Amino acid sequence: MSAAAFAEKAALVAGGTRGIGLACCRRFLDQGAGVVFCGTSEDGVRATAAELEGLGGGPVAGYVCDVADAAAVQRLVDETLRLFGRLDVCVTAAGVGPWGPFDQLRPPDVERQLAVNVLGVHNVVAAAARVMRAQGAGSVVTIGSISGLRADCDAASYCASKAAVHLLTKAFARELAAHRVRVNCVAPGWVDTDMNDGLREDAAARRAVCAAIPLGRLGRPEEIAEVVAFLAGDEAAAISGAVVVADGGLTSR
Amino acid sequence: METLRDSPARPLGGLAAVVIGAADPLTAAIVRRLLADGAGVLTTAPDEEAALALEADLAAEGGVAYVVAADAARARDADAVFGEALRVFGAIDIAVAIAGALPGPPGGGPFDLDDGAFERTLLASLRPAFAGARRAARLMTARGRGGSIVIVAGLSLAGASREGAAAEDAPDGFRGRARPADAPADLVAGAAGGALEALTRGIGAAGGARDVRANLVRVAAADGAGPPLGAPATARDVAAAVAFLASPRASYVSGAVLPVDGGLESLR
Repeated sequence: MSAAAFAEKAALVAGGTRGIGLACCRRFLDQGAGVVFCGTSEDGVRATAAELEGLGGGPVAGYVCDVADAAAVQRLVDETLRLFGRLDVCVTAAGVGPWGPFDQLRPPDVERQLAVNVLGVHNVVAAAARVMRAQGAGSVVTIGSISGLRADCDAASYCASKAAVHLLTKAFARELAAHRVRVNCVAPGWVDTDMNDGLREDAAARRAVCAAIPLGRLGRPEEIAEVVAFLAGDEAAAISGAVVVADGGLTSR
Repeated sequence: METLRDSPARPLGGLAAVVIGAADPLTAAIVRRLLADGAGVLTTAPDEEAALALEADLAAEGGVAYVVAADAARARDADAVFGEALRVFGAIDIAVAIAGALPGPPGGGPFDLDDGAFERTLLASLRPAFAGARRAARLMTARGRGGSIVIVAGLSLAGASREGAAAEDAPDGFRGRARPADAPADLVAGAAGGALEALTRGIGAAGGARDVRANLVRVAAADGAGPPLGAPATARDVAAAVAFLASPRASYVSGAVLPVDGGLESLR
């Protein structure tokens, strides 16, 4: 693999201001790609853009965009095309809670979760697919979760939303294969991100989580980004419809 | 195995790999890829003649790999192979086991397979992976610096073409079977594939505490019209997946299945 595996390529990262999405932005920039990312907070987008520009990699642009809003997502993809004239890689990394006993959650919060985690993936991949179909090439990587593979406690709707991402991935892959567009999913386990910041403060909870993981530790966002980059790139040219677990062995126990 | 991207051009630089294979095009492609990524490589061949031929082929391309004749399905041979690798390299960081040869379908219906064919097929498929992975996991856990085990499952080495450079991109002689179907051997091949997945997960679960990762590359090819992406996976595609899982780039991936099949996975 060359040091600039994504030179001259354009990547879109939906949900790129924090955690796994941010690590993906860094990874693609480091490998020579131009990157467009989005987030929902104007401050977050501005700060992330400044940080990524400081890395001195490929060109980067950040936008405020709610993935649950299909029209806004379309504008985001249009903007990517205006900047780079192409779209080679698309990553869907936006994901939200709530977590808690399912019968105690507020219905608007659950609706918002499904809107971002499921509908958001549909919106982003649909807008990207319209470009990639026409190009006759492209690679999409969704971020699922091991929570989409089996039931976690206090995460019913999150689990369901990620299981939906896994099957959307396979269905998109099936529809787009004839156009040489690949769609794959990375299903992370416990990763040290803001989403799991409870584990940063609660040492006992962190120890309990790590004890259940064969590798004995949380994943780092950049370790997930490595799997995303592999699936996004030409080395995975024969892989589509795959849900690749990256959980330190947790679900193999 | 902790540092990410020490040297992007040689992601396996300084690491030693054992590839349990059969000197066929797929094994050769994996060996070439690991060499190109900077690893030291020792691999197996069914006999002395095949070992010398592969060693000469690689040398002509400027690659240096150790090729030893061994029956990978015999535990004693596997131990000897790893012993030789230890002597040469001092330690093993990567072990790749390519699931063994599957006999061709003997004819008859799916339920006509006799006990002898069942045992031969199952053992040929499982033993090299088990014997190789067990030995590798022992060495890696004892050494305490971790390691990566990759099992390659789902293809028939027996049917693999051994002809020249074109074979590099050929579908490795396993075209025609996307999954267990009506050919009698396929019932057992499917069962063996499931067993290899369970074996991989078990190694990953048990070796994790010593930083030993284990993953499976699942290869398949389609009937007739070909897989969804239009072209079957090549030996190079499989080698790229193996190289990724073997490398520190996959440092949080263990117990995973990576399907390299031209998109057949989307139909599963």
